[in-house]
Amino acid sequence: MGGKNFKAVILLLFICIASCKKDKPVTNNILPGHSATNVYVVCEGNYGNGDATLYLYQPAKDSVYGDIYQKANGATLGDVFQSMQHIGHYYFLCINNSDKVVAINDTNWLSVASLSIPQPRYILPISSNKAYVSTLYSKKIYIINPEALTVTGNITMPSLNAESMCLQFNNAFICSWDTADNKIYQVDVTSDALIRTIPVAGYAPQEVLIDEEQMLWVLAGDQPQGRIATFTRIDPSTGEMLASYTFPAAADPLKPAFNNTKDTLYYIEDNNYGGTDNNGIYRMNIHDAALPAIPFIPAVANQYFWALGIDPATGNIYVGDPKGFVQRGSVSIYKADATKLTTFNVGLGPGHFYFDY
Amino acid sequence: MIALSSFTDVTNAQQIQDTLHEVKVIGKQDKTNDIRINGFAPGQKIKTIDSTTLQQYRLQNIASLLSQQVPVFVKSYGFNGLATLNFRGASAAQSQVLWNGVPIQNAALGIADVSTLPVLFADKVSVIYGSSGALLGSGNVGGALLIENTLPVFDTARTTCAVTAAMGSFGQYLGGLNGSITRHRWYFSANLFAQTAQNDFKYTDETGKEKTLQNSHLKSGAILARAAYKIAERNIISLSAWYQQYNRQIPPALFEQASVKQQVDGSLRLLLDWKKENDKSTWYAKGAFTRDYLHYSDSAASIISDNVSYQYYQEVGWKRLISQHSNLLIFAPVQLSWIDIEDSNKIKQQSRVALAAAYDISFFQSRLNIAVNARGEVIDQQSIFLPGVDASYKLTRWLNLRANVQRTYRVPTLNELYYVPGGNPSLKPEQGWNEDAGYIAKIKWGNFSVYHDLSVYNRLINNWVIWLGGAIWTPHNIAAVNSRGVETENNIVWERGNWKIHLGINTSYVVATTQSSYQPNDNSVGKQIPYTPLYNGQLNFGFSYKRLYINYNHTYTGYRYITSDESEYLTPYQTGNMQVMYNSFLLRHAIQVIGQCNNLWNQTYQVVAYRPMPGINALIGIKYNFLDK
Repeated sequence: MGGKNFKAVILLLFICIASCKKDKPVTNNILPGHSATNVYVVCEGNYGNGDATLYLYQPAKDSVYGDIYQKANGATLGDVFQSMQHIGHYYFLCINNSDKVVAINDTNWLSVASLSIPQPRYILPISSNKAYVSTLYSKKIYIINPEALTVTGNITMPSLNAESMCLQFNNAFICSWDTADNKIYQVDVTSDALIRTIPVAGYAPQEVLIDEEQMLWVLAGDQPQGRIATFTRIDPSTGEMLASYTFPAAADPLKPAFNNTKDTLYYIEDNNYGGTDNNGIYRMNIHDAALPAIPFIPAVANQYFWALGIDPATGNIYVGDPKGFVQRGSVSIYKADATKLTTFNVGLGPGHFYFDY
Repeated sequence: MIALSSFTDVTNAQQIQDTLHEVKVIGKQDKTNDIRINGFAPGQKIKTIDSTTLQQYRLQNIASLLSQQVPVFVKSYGFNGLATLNFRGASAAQSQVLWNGVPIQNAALGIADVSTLPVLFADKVSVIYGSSGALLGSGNVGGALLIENTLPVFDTARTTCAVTAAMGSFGQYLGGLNGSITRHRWYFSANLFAQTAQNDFKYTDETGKEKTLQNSHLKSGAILARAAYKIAERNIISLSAWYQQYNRQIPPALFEQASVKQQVDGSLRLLLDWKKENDKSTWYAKGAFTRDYLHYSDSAASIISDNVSYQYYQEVGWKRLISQHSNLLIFAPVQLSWIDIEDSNKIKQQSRVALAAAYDISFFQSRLNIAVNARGEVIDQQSIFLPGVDASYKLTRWLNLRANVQRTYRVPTLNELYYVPGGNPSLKPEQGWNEDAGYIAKIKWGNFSVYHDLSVYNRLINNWVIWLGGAIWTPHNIAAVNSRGVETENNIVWERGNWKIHLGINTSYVVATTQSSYQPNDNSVGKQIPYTPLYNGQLNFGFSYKRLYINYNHTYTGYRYITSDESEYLTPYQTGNMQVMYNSFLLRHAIQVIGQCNNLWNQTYQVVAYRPMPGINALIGIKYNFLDK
């Protein structure tokens, strides 16, 4: 091989090597500074991949901080981050498929405890030393002491899959997201005793909220399992059904949230098959006679929303797009008139917002 | 020397019935028996695992064999856990597994768990890189794995029987029994295999705490029985029956506190095969029935599911020598798959009826070989045409060039269409083109033999199916995906007298990126497909001396992104593995001792996120031919 040819081969090899794609990814490790207004984005992660993350958006700075648990603690959160609550000096994070509630310090996000609770879903703060934790696949509500960071007991419910809970005076109203159940349950939080069952319009109650008139709104349904979704408005003092709304069979509503005056109810409808029917953010007044026919913020084809929150200070609407749970999701913020203000990327599967004001 | 030669005779005579081929360890790399590939795919890269390597891995499963010896990525969910194939950036559903020419992927899922395929049942293992849709049918996108049993011979009356026993780390015990009887026109053989393993290895969790893997017990059993009858010279009919069951506990992932998940995989495969040859023509027909049963339970989540899928496959073909330099093959495959949808009485099915032809012609004293292939396939009510052309050219005595262009097409699987909940009946087929080219250089220089094979390829698939979802996972035709890359296979062998020293390096560079997407604001465009390492390679270095064979194997697997936007990834890992094999006699019976030590450097690694893999582990086994007359 002549010298010229040899040089040509070396040059060709160099070009080949240089043109190869670098496979080492880039990472950053910046923790947020403190702010009076913090919007935490609960990113579920991709079920089974153990990639749940906690993101923080600070509206005052218009800044986003990613995976702050990992950055503060040097460890990952676990699998399926379902919800969070701020009680006392700690944030409590329900890591559903890792069977734990992680308590982190509210100033530096350092982990202080991990409470072993099977399939935790939501936390209902009752007092500084008592909170309920609902769980999937069982009939149990766990009672924790958020100060002592201990599990202190449990309540056995009549149905499986305790889900959303709300507190009114000394009463907790609890949904059991069980397709065979069409009731919600009233528990006396002083005695932890089940004191009443209240019928709702549909099966599989999953979410319960309280409106400005102190009436309960219950979202029931499990569309993939053939349970048509319904809203029921209930007077909690009597258990009377004040109004009910039945969704179309194809609709899969979820994540209802009230605005800051609690007179307008927002919710998501999901279309998992790529279509635009029954897909987007909907809203209705609490005295509307019927469900809205068209979305207030429509999702486009091959998109659906998974997180919804209303900023209690501004009334801005936070919407999470999970982008199929196979890549980082995004959050868009809209004004109350549906004008989009901003969009930013977050972790995998943004599922809830926690406004820590 | 006398002992050696007599033993060689014995073992050489066994080549047909048995996988113990030689006493002087010489790897043989026979071509596949598949009539479609062997003769009508001159431009396709095909790697047949040599017989020595196959013997080294006879105590393990196909997943271990491929992950250490072939530059394909085996996505393994843990030691003895589910393992699927990723050829050149293709998904598991785009990679075919064929047993004696019949597809054996689960008819519902479209994928094959290669961890449930024991090497002990394979007499020949080949890997076809890239698409060969016209020959192997729609669904063959990334490549194919061929598992074959040798053809029976009827020359002499003969009876053989051998027993294999092995034990290893983490409570692994396995045993096998294989034998054959040849009488006049009849041939019978049976292979039995049983395995149990605790798989209770120690691993380190994220907090640095050492733990022992729980809920990881494996029990499996398998039988492969064959009967063949020689109707006349070169006219044989055979019946093969393969049944196996794997009972596996599924251990917790690193993010789980515990697991009570269990899975049972049961498969029945029946194959009736007939072949008649004369000087100019070959006729063949085969009919196969497979039933796959999958039971999954997770008592912690109140989940119990039972899925049964069925497949019937038949193929009739005729090969004709048209002239001294050209061959024609015409064949007609029919494939019918069906499943019972759980919790309903509905049966969903998919049918494929095809007519295919392949014409191979050679020129210039067979230096140029061209094959034109075409297949018309009716999938349910939809007709498709799959053309392909490939060629090879022997440029010099030592250099052979090849090229291959194929149309690819994959219809969604029954699971993708109808699974409840989440199946998407409006899913469209994936389709595109595959092009690849390469060369083989073989040089003999004194005591050295050098083998160098390089392939470059490009594949563009439209309507690539991606599963998306949170609570409900649904497949979507979101993207166009472009896969391209370079593979090399390099071997240097030095041979003198009884000594043979080998050095082999396989490399793979795969860029499989999302080209375009229908999803709004999709950040996956331009990014690598999840679980497709850009870099992957293996090294083998060892020697054989008379009856002894020693090999050191080293593997490297590069970064694997686990999200489609490259936001999450797994770090590269390397494993060192050692294989030792010794052939000898006991009471004049052939005996073979095999030892394996895997992950010699005790590396902590994960192939799939949060599924720990074991540290250093070993397996030792013996095969004793106690009857051979």
